[in-house]
Amino acid sequence: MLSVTLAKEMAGFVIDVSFSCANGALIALTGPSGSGKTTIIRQIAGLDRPDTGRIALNNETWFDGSGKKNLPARKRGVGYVCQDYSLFPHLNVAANVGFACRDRERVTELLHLLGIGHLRDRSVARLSGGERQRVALAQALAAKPRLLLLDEPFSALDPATRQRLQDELLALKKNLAIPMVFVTHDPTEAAKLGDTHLALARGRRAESPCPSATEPWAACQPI
Amino acid sequence: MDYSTIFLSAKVALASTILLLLLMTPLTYLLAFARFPGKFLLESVVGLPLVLPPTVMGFYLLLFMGPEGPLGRLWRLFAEGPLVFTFAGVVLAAVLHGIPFAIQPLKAAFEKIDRRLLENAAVLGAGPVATFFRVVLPNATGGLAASAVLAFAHSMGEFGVILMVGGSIPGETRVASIAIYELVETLRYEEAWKLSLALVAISFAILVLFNGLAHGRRRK
Repeated sequence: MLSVTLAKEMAGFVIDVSFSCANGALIALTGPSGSGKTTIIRQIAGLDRPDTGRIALNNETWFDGSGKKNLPARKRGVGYVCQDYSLFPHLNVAANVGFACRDRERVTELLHLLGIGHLRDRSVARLSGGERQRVALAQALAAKPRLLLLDEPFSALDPATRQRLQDELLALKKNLAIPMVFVTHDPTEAAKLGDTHLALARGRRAESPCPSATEPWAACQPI
Repeated sequence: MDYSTIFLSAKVALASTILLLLLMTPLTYLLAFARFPGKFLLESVVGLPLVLPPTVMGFYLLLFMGPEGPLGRLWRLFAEGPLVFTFAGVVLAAVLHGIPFAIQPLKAAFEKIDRRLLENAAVLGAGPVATFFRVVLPNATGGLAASAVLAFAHSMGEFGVILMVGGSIPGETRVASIAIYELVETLRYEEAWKLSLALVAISFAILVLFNGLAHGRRRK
């Protein structure tokens, strides 16, 4: 169970949210650009510091604004996949996936699980967008994360690849049994993947998370 | 014609380059990425050799490394004899004078590395040391090479500091640049010509090799 309460002063507005996400569940974070989605994700990962609040996973406190606790990112054990690829350019696919995992068999398993077994020796500079995101996902999973953070991981992909990866993520979700936070600006994607949904507007929960009664927020339920 | 002074220059340059790379790479990592109080002071100190006249720097090094200086005393705990007017003393002086030349290309290369790679390494559980060896260094090989070349070329042509700290002892501290100075002083122009030309050729060859390699990398 991930529980997050955080506040941070940004240029022009204040991020002030509170949500939780159970193990095996996926919370979709939506909102227009500049509403603070990425900042929230980075604060959960430990890459940015909230002003105040509390972030905890399974009763282990990662950040506490009052007690000044702030566990460094490297000790949090999260998997983090973002839109702009942060794969290591000097390593091939297998070495990228194995960055945080010495177990070669596990690396091979993950490569096959994500359908990139044939790419293991390829340089990451010579991968397509979809392949890169699979490698990034495999890299994050190889570290056996206790929480998965996905910041618009599929938004740069073509629709077909995107759908395939969404389906694969849904399958993964069943097996992993860890909380997942998924940022997207696409309502359809949020509805498809999310068990719960948090819509943001300028750093706060939007007044009405469903923009219209018709579509596509059919699965959208305020939490 | 005696070219042994050139070999001595090359020996000083090689030794000081190796030491500079070993010492300055971690320090530059700190300067490029860490935040700590007084950082600007440290940056100013390591930049000093760039602006000080070599004689001034050499003078203070002479006092510092001399038999009564703190470094000279420390040296005598581990070795026989003094530190000044020896090969080791000259190498040490070349190292200290070469610091900014080694740091600058490295720092530029470190700062060019995408911060998201460092963040990704942290998220994946890598500490600062692992990140240094597994992410920063492999992505800064060009900067390392540039730093080595600049440090080597600078030490190869080092004059003022070595003269102050090393004097001109044949086979020990009389490097090529000092030999040339003495040849000119004693009006032996022909020998000065040859030695100077040899130094120009070596320096030029190093730069050609380096630029050729850098060009090849860019085209790859």
